[in-house]
Amino acid sequence: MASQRQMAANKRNAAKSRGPQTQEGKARSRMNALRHGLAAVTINTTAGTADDNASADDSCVDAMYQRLRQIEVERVKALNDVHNLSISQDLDMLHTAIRRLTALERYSQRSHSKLKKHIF
Amino acid sequence: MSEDKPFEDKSYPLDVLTRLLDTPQLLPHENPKEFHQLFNSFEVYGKAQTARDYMAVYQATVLTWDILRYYEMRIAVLSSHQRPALESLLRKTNAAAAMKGAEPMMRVEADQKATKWFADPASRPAMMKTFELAGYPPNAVQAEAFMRALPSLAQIDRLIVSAQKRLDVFLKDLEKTSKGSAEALRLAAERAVAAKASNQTPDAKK
Repeated sequence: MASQRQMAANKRNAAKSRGPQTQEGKARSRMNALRHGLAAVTINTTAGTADDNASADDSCVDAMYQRLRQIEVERVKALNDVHNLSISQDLDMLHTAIRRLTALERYSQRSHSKLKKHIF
Repeated sequence: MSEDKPFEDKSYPLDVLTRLLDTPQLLPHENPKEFHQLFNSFEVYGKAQTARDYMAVYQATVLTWDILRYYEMRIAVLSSHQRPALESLLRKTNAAAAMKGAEPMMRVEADQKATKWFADPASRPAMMKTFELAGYPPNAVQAEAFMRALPSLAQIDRLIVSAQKRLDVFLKDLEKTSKGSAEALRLAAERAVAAKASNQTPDAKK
C-alpha cells in the first residue's frame, strides 16, 4: 500500500493534469459520465458520411430503433424489479425502481417523437 | 362463441399472430391465460375477420395489458405499504411512546403485533379499537399506507396516463381506416380497464 507521502505526491501530480491529450484519451473520457445513454439528445451513428445523406438518415433511424429496443428491454427489467421488490417489501428500492420506470417512459416518448419527426 | 373456445383450438389468418399469442411478451409472474382471455374478448368486440383486423386486435390487447399491468402495480405498491403503515400506527398508539429510550422495545412489539394482524384476522378488531381510542379513524391503516405510498402512486398514475395515451393514439389511427372496429376496441379496452380499476383496493385483491 502507498504511504501517506506517496498518496500526497500522487494527489499533487494529479492536480497538475491538463486532461486527456490524445484523441483516444478524449474519446475514452467522453464516456466517463455516461450511465446508459438512453436520455442522450443526439444519436451517434458510425455508418454514413456528411456527403451521403440518405445513408446517414438510414443509420440514424436504425440507431433510434435500436435505442427504443434498448429502452423496452430496460423497461421490462424495471417492471420485473418492481414486482419482486413489492413482494420483498424493500420500499426504498421499490420507489427507486418506479422512478426508473417513469424515466424510461420519458426517454421512450422522446425517442418516439424524434423517430416520428425523422420518418415523416 | 369464440370467447369460450380455448386459444389452442383456434386458427388465425396469420402464422405470426399464432406465434405471438403462443409466446406473448409477458413478465414471469403474469398469466398467459388472462392475456388470451383479454385477446378473445377484444376479438369478439372487434368482430375481427381479416388479418389486419386481427393484428389491430392484438395491438389493442398489448396496449390495454400495459394499462392493466400498471393498475396491478398500484395494488402491489399499496399492499407493500400496509405493514410499515400498521407498524407505524402501533408505535404511535403505544402507551410507552412518550417514554425515553422505549423505541427499540416498541419496534419489537409493533413487529409482533403486525405479524399477528396479518396472520390472524380475529386479532384486528382489538387493535383497531386501540387506534380509535387514540383518535384515529377506522380506516387508519389504509389511510397511513396510502400516505406512505403516495409518491410512488403518483408516478404510477403518470405511467397509466402515458399507457392510456398510447392506446388512444393507436385507436385514433385505426379510426381513420376502420371506424367501426376502432370504436368496438375502445369500448372493450374501457370495459377491461374499468373492471380492473373497480377492483383495485389491496383487500379486494386478496
